[in-house]
Amino acid sequence: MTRIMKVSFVLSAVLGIAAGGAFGYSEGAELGESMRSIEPLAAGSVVSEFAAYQFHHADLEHARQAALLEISVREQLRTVAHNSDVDGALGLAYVRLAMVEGQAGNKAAESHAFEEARKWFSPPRPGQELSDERLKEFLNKMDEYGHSIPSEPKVKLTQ
Amino acid sequence: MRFPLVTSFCIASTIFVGSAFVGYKAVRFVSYHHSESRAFDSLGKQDAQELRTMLQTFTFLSHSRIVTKFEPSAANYHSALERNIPYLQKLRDHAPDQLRPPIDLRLATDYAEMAQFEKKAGHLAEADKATQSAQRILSSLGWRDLSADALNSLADQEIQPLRISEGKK
Repeated sequence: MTRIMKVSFVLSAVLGIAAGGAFGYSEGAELGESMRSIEPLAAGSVVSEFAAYQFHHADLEHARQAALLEISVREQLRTVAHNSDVDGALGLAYVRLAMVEGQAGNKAAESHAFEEARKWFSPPRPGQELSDERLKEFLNKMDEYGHSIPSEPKVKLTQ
Repeated sequence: MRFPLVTSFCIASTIFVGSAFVGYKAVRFVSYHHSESRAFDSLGKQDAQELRTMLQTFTFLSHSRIVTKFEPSAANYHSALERNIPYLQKLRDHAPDQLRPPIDLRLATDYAEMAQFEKKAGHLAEADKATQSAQRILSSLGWRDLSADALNSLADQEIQPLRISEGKK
């Protein structure tokens, strides 16, 4: 093997690694970005569905724990994603908690949870608040449909 | 002289393609993990770590459901469930305590589905074993009704899309 051949082989390897690396770097970064947008959706969907199942099938203490887990996860998600869907989902998690407290007969805790829920929804008209019944009805519809991922909560909640 | 030139060109091209492939794979892996490890750093080290763990755990959980739910045939569905149960158990073992209940519910659902499949195949001992596993987990989750009907209903909600697609055929 001549010296020129050796040099050209080494050069081919170096150029190959550089070209592949450049392509791999941008794709790895893009993949990371995509995962960061998919992961919050998946996490939100999992906890909402879990809270819904527990609400309909478990005892009150376990249903409460599931609702609190959903609130905790939704609040964590809010630290990285701010939009009306994320806020609406957090509002619905509080509605779930309110419904659990209502079933447990804890009126004060129920009212407090509904108050927390209302903070995350835009009022249907200025100066008008969403009623507890309206919020319950919306969550019940979400449960019937599948699970609690609001697509356009502001539109659907408008009375 | 011409033959060694062609051979050298071919070898150099092979080296280039091989190196590019290795470089691409290695850098993509490093770049992705670097990007993941730096994500949410603005939240502070501990909060960012907690958020990453939560997101990864629930994304894996969500993925495991998609893998089983959209299997095209009953035979594939059964083997997907068989693969999924140990995967979920491993995920549960590595998850923080507060994130385990949703994984438990997923495991119970898989056992309930498994029990239905085994029963239909006439494997009654396996069906009983899967039913007991589902009931044990659901009991730990505070479920009020652990009857066979409740388990069937839980399993049916998952198997429904499969039945619909098979019905269309």
